[in-house]
Amino acid sequence: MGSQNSSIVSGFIDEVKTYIPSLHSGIETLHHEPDRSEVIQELHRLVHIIHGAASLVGLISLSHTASQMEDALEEVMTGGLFVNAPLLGAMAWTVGCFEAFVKGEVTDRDREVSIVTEAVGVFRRLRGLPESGDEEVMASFFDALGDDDAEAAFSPGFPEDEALIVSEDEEMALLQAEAPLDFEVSEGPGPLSGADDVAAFDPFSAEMSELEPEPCEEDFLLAEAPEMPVGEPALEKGPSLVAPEIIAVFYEEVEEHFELINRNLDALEVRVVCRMDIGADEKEMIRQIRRAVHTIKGASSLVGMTGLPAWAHRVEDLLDWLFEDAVTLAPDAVVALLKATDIMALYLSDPARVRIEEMAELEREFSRLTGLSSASGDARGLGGETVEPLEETAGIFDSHSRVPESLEILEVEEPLASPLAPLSSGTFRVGMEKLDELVNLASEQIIALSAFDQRLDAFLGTVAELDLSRARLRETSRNLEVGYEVKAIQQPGAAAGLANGGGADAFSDFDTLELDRYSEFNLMLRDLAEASVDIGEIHGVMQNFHSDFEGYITRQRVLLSELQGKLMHIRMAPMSVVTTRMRRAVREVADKLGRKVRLTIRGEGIELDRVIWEKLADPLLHILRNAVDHGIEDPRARKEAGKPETGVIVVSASREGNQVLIRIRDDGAGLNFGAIRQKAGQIPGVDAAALSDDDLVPLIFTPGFSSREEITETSGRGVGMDVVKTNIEELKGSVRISSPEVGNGTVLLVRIPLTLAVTRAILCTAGGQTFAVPLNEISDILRVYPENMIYEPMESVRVGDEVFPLFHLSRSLGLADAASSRNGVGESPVVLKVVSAERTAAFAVDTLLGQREIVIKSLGSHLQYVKGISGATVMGDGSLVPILNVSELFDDDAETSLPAARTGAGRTESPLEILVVDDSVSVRQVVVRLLEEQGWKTTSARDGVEALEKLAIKTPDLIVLDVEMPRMNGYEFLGARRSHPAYRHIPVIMLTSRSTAKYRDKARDLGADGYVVKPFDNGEFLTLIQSLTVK
Amino acid sequence: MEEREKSLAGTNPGNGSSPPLEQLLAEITIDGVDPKCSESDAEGVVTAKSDVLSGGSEPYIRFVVDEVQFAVPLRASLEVGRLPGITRLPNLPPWVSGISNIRGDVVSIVDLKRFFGRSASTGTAGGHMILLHNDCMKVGFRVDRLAGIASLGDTEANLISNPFTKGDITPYLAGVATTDASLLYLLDVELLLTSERMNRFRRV
Repeated sequence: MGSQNSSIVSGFIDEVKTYIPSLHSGIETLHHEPDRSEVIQELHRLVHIIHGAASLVGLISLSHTASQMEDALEEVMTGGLFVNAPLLGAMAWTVGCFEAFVKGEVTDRDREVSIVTEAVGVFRRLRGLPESGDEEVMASFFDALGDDDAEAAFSPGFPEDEALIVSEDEEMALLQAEAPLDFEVSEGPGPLSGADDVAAFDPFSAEMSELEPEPCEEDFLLAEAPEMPVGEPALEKGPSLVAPEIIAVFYEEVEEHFELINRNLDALEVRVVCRMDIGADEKEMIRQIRRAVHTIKGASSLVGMTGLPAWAHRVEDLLDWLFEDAVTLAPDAVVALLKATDIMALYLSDPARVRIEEMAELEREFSRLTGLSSASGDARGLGGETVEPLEETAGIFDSHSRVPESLEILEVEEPLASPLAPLSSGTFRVGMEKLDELVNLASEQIIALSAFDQRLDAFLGTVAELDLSRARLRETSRNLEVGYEVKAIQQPGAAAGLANGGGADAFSDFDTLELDRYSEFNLMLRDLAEASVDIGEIHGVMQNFHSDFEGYITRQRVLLSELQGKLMHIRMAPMSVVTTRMRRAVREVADKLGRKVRLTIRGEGIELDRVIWEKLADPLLHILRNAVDHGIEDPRARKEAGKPETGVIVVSASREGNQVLIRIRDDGAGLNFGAIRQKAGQIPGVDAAALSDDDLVPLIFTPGFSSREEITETSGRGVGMDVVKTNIEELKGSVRISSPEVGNGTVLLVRIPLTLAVTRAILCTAGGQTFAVPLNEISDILRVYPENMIYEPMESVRVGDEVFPLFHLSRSLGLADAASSRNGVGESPVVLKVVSAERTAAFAVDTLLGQREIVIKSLGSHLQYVKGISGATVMGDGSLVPILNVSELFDDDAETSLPAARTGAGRTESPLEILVVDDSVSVRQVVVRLLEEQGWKTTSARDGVEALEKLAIKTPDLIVLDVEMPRMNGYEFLGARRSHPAYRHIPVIMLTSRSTAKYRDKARDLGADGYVVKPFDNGEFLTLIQSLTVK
Repeated sequence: MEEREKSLAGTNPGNGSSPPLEQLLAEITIDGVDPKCSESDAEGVVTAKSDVLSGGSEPYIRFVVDEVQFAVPLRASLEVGRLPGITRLPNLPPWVSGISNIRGDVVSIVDLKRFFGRSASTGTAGGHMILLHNDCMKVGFRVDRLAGIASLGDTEANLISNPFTKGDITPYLAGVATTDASLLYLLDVELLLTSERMNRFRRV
């Protein structure tokens, strides 16, 4: 208890006080409705907090009491225990004990022990646990208590001046009165006055005598006590007792506050360039920083940290002074704050790197600052040799050095904000891979929708066919009606005979035309007519459905693309996710090297895929460190050069089309071309003297290049800029460096595509296949006319003064031989001009299909790397299009190493395409199914006319043709085919139910290649097709 | 006409939206191309099914490559079906037919006949696919025909001989089983997928 931070304890007590009414009302509710699980959960949550936090602040008895109740509630939640009167009674009693604890009524050790013993006994009986285990539980309690006593044993060692200072502090006294802190270890009526504080610590021996009833504990305590390290506060074992989800929430929360601090500090840094009066704006910034620091302090102490809250407290003091007392603000105060918050951040990210000396120095700076303009001095105990009681350093400092610290912490503090209160930000953390899954599902959905859309088109075709059939039916029925019904009526005798069964002619006085008589035939005619009308109506309804479907699909497509866009956007994060790191890196290096640097960041809101920022952070930090190290001169040199002492580095991000442009400019000395040239001379094969300055610049990016003679921690190792370049290129970005004028800074331009998942690409065909080429790899798309072609010594293209080699994409990909690729691209081919760092070339393509946004997918788990292919994308119809990696196609051997045999194999692998012409839907289906089972592709047509239309679009390898069809029958089609030179060579198989030789001969005369009679033998039919398609 | 009706019936599996694997296989086999073996195969499926039901032994998917019957454990396969549309890629050995979009995943398709050193699958042959997987790879294998499910116990003879006169495939065989007086070559999927040939496209 001696090392306890009393302000934290008081915060905790306040917190527990707020829980007690909820606990009471919860128990009350359970009396009436024992099954309210949410009430049980809430109770459990509160008790859990009390249990965890109490042990953190060292109220061991309270913590153990709460722990018993928590265990019982846990069992209730898992269904092992039922809510009944005894349990509720026990809980009510426990809450009463909580109340007694926080009101300071539990003041002596006996009472504490008896409460815990009772709680252990009662709850364990309720849970049906044996009495024999109680001792063990109590042992662990005494164990914990023992540690605490050991702590307390050192408290008398505190020098007397502590009491003096504390007693001077009236606020302190007030606090003490309000929330008695030391009830756990203090004797007597309780510490109601601050002056009693020191005296309130029990002597160790007094504790011992109290504990005598448990002799077994005594030895333990005696053995344990002397080993307790001096500076080890009980708090250090905190984090393990706090639930991991609370820790997670804590980190999340703290991150937000750090962002706020950094934002305000950065703004202050920009504003405060010289000592200035604190205006309303500055005050507001300081206030915000102070609030954030305060919250971090509170939250971190509640999750069991010690170093961070203590340090934050000191920072808060400085901020208090700045906010309340200071009238002017100087840059050095801002710098001190920046460094101080850096240390706070370090506590969270890498506590091992927190340096005591640095903190001590900063604290001196704090007291200097506060002492400088405040006559009141630092009576508040700030500064001096005060050092953080860090775990690592605990042994170094004797108990005296800790005095100012513990005393300072006893200062007034606002009640702690509960870290468990719901955060207002309303954010939710989701794993990246889950998001990727969602994005994939959305794209999947779009593809599925396209497939549906296509089927819907087919459906419309069928509906149209239905209309055709209906028309035929109606025509037939009308013909029947007109032609035969009248005839039937004109034979009255026969009709009457049928209708009346040959009875008396009761209607003979009517003329035949005056009275309709119906035979069965007439009725059938009526039915037929009605059926055709019905079908017409059904057709109309189906058409309506179709247009409805179309509407839904369109809407769904819009929604889906919106969904996809939004999902993609979730991955985006603003640059501010890396700016904190950037500022810190600059500060660190500048400090180390004694440079004065101000970093200005513009365009923090520019968004990129979060993954890209993460990967970009290292290169950017490296560039910044370089800028400080190589660019910015030391203050003296700057002064001599007539520049302000403080160097400026500006990082500005902006969006340019599909890319983000990050400019890093410094106003330093610029590139040292002399040194670069000298170093370049050492690279074999480089004639440094002959190179112009511009040519020298890219050499900076060669591996192992460093113009620094000596190797320092910051730079000079020669691994650096080449890694920067590789990293950025991995992100499909580029980096360029330039030095506009000597002695006046360097500019680095980093270009990064917006996202890695989607890119704009050109779709083109080569060798009959479609490929996608990312737009960022293409510099130009040109049409090359024969006069600009050069054939010797190698095929090249001349554009203006520039000559670059021409490759045929189909050949580079090994898809075609020289002759066919030339045919494919034609006399004046379209070429894609590709410029890479090494060379420029043009690739001739067969046709351009246009430009579109494509989703990049990998080639799957098997084909992880295929030369020349970087991935694949899915088209709307579900087909895949390979994405080319053009730079890999440059290799000259690509053309020669691919044998022509590949081409042949490729051709036979492409499936046969067969056109099926038949007016019967079912025949078409059967044949198409049979053919597609062979892996062949089919198209179908309903009659000769449609078949000719289909032929115009695509030439099949073979046609399967029916004889009798509407509009144009099979024979007519054969005639049309013969008269058309382009179609004459396509083999045709007649597929008909007419088996007589007459039909067969007619077909042969008209040029049919095969004749198959329905029903046919599948095997024979397929063999015939194969024999006809072999060339 | 009878033939046609049978095929027609096959076109409308409509009674169930997604038939179980066995049913699918049976259907594929029944409306298969080759009338002379479809009958015996159909019987094979029936017996295989009852074996599965009786339990105790492991189900295998049977398929035919170049008139040789093979089988792979059902658990090593993700799905079977007709060969999907294939997009060819350059700079690949001939036994990799290309890539396909199978339910949104890009999957490579290996022509098993070609992989075994036989001639390429063309025309009527190679119209079906089995999607096999292990922990790190998922590959579609192009086969001539699917021949239903067989249930094989451990008692089968582990005699290994090369079924082909040309092209050695013994490295990929786990054993040989006899069923209905014909030999069934069991492929070791793990060996196949971890073989050096299959893994030459790993990113370096």
